[in-house]
Amino acid sequence: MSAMATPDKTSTAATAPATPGRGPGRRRNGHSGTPVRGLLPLIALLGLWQLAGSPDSPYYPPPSEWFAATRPLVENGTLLPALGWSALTFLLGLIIATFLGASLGILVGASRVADRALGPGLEFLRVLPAASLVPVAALILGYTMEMKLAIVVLPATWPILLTCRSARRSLSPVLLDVPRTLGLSRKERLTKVVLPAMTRPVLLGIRVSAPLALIIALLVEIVTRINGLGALLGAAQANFESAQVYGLLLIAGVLGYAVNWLVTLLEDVVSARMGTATG
Amino acid sequence: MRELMARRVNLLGAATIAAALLLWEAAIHVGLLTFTYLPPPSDIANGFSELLSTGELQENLWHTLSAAVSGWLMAAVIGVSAGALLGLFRPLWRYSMASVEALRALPVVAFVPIAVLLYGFTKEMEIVVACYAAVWPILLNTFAGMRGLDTRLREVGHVLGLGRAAAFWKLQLPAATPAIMVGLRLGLSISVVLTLVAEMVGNPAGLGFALVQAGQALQPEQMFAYVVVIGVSGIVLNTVLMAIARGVFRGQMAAAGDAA
Repeated sequence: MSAMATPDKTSTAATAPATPGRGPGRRRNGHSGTPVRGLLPLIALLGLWQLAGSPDSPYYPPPSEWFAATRPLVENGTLLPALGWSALTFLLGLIIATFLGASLGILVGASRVADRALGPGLEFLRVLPAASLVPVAALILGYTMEMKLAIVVLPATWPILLTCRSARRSLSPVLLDVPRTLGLSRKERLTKVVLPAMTRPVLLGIRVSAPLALIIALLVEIVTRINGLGALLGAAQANFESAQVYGLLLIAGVLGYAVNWLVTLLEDVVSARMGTATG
Repeated sequence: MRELMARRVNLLGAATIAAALLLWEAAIHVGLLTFTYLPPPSDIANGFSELLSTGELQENLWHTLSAAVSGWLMAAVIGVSAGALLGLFRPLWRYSMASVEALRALPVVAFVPIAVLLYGFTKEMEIVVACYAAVWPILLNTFAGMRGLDTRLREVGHVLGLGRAAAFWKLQLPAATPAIMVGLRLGLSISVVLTLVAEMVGNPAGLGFALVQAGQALQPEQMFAYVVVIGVSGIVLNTVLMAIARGVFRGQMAAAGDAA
């Protein structure tokens, strides 16, 4: 859903309010910076729901029911494969999107002409809601894994492509002149100068892309009912198993947290390896 | 960025798009692209005019956009006020921000089935989904804008002896306007998307359902026509929003270098 969070807007959203004092360093402890006691209202709400909710309410089943209703899915062995399929779609989609986005972004950003020629087309594709492509892809590619991947890859590519494009465009010319003076070959120039300089933009792009890719993967599954967590959600809703829907939503949420945590981990590992330079 | 491009008409860009369309058309006629349901652009144009003449397109477009925009308006009111409260009152932030973040992290699309359960196949359901999805970016950006107030501005407020309310109205809100606009734009595009999703999964009406229906009826040219309409309407909505913002909050937007 390029539209879910259009990349450069999101990155402005993320960076704009960050005044110098709250740079990357602050972001790392940003999570622990939000006091945990802030969870109290949510816990209170859930507790109240548990106490006040009637177990057979068709709309608001209490939390304990969620677990009871989701357990059969674990027992009959549908939940784990479904999780696996969703995770696989997500991971493959994100990896393809990263390679595609980074290489296209670097190519487009390297040339003024290409940038100008492809700019409007890329902009249109970027703002096109990925959701609208689900039926199109289903019709053209059929109800297959490739279709799922194609829909996940497309929107997840833009954030990475756009951050790489602008980073490549604003890459200091000095950085490109030095290897030329040192007589490095084309390949060395790419691996020793351009790619290291692109690591951070790529990571920034992935930060935006990863949740997007997960959402799209779920969306495709909900709409087309192909194997996966989304398909289970859709089926539970169609059968009016409301407690199960809530339970699956919770699982989807956990998946979301896991993705977020992995991306943060990746960022930490990379910045530890690269040092704090090239800010 | 996009505005900048629009101002200096990008002929090269337009030419590239035209060339790509021609290539697409040619590739199908020559037989390079052989997907059964991939229509050439000329068929899509025909499908578009067909939909336009039957009035289906206008009706669906109106349904979807009205649902998305009403959800978004609700989200704007809720998001800006909640974000402002969180930004202004430290204790409130301390005792609820983590809940907000926990809720926000749940994938929005997974809420669509719940909304369908609760509200059935109705337009309210679409509006609720659009509103829920759009609240988060608006809330968080408003909050960030409020918190990001320059210390110097805060000091100016102190020196001038502004009260809490006056400081909010004269300093914090104007300073947060660009950030709020970013949130509103993000929220608008998200609410359109989620409305579409809600129509695909739940309420059988509007553009989302029309897309699915065209697919089931094996009418890819109509489907692509709808996709183009959806893309263009997103751009138009965004442009309108920005034009309004520039007109109403001229000073604040200019101060932010028209960032947003």
